[in-house]
Amino acid sequence: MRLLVVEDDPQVSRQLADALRAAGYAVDVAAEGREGRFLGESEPYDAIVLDLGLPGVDGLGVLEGWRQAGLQVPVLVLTARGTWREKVTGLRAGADDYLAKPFEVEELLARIEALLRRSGGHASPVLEAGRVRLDTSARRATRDGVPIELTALEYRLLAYLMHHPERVISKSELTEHLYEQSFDRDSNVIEVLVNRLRKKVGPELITTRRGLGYQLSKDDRG
Amino acid sequence: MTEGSPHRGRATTLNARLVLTSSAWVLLALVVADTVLVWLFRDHIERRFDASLDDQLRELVAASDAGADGRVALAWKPFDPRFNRPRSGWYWQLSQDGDVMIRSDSLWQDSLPVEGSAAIGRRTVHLRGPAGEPLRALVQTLTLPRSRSTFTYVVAGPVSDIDRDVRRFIGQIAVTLTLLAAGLLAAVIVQVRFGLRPLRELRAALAEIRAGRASRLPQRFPAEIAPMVDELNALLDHNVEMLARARMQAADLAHALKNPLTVIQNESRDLPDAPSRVVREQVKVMTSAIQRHLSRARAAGARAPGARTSVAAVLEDLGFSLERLYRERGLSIRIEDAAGAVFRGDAEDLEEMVGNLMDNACKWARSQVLVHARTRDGWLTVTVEDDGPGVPPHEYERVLSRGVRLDESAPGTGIGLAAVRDVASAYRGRIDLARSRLGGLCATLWLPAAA
Repeated sequence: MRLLVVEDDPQVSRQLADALRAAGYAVDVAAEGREGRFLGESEPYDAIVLDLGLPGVDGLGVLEGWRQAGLQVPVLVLTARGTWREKVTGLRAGADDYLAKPFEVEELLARIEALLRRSGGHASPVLEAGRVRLDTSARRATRDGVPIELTALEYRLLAYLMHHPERVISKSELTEHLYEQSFDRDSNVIEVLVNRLRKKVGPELITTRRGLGYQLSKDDRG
Repeated sequence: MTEGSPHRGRATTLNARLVLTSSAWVLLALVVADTVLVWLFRDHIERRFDASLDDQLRELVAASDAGADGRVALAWKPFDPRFNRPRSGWYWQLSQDGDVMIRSDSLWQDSLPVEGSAAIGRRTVHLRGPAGEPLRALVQTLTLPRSRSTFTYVVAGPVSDIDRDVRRFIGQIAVTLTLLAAGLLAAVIVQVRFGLRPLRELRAALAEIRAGRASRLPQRFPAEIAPMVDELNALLDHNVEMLARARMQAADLAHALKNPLTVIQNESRDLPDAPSRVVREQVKVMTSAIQRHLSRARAAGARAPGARTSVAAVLEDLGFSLERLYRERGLSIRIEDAAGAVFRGDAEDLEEMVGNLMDNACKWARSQVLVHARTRDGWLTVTVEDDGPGVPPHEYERVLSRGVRLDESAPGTGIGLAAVRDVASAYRGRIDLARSRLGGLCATLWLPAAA
């Protein structure tokens, strides 16, 4: 899962990015409206955290720009003002959720997770596929009830596949959703990563579709 | 803004001032005109009267002649029936050296009491006739050829004739001038009303603003009032600007403080347990203090005269927003009866009040929130109910106080209802809490409605 944080305050931005990375997300950061808008339109993020009080193009303008361009990505809006007028305008402009500053990082993580779950069409925070369960709120995976130790990247890969079960996902799509913008992309890395994850969660869960990509099956066929 | 009343002592309306002073001038002018006209008329009548006496006198003089014995005689008697009718008031007589020689038939045996004067010449005198009636007489004393005597001619007519004409004239002029006065007064009243109409319109326009039906005065006033209207409009604009600036500053301050607070709050997680808890508690205290003062600074209240807000639009916006924010819980938010209700105040204020009430209801509701707005007797009531656990009646006052939350399990700073009360009281409104039919809390907001 790859997120975009658009926030002008460097300290808040750093804390957000740190907390989100610690929670297993790939995070890109923009400090200014124009840059945020460009990144949001050019990179396939799974969710965006957008501060409304931005210098240059303000957050609302950025959000409206995205929605006019047909961007469906869930957006959580952050604001210092906290008036209902701002909430209403933000939500009417296409925001999916709203958080007033100062906020607790846990609250933010819970909201992001709910947004991701909803956009994937899942009602429960616990995703299941075959014998593997992924608790997105606790960020923990188990196989037959036994916890699986995963690196941040492995967790990210598993979570992305489990959010989109039964869909054939190309290597490039995985690259785009697992790595931050600064990462030097190489498709071999994905192959290595998928193989490493297969060893931990069981080989039957993830099928390779040659030339197309990978597919996670919900039913246990292995 | 009431009409000048007698209790204020002297008449205080411009209307009364203008009508009274104009009326006084009109009446004075008419009285003077009346006096002058009567005097002129009397003078005119007297001249005519004297002219007719003079004709008579000339005829007498022409007819008279001194005989060989030195006694005066008339060659013919002047013919005018008035002088022949006895006691008609029209008389003439001719004296020679003080003795009455010839007299008109109307005098019969009497004579006119004219003091004999030797002086040659003519004069007008007033005297009494045989019946004691006042007469106006022309007296001429002269000498005749072939005689050394002086002859005195007297021709007199009744003063009552003059008086009668003058009286009739006075009667006619009184009626005419009274009609003129009535016409002029009516014209004054019409003129003053017409002239002061812009002021009445100004008052009506101000009433429109107070009632919330307009936000500025119209520009169609005459040049004398236009500067005042412009000033008032500038003042109203200034109010709106001040409000916008206060809100801008509140927003800037919020931005300036809340980012550091966010950083402090989240950074303190790395501290040991005890200090971390203290820091986070203090951050909460600061946040709610900021929130409270900002919500006061933002509230327009009386600073926005003429504001008018459609309740239905605000409820719809809030319903949309809260359904989106509480999507996970699948709450049913029902809005009833809001159509047509209009709040006499600022839209952002109404959003803050009702938004906080609805948000609070959504936090506690099990499955449904019911909102309805109604207008009654100049008051707008917005009621927000939920089917949550509710609040026991003895806690009502406490939940409306600052910083008090009954339960820490729902998120929020605990200033929601108190902020609502603050803003409502800026409009002289209030908030009532009661038990809802749905089982939870029923909060009713009382606010001024716009007509």
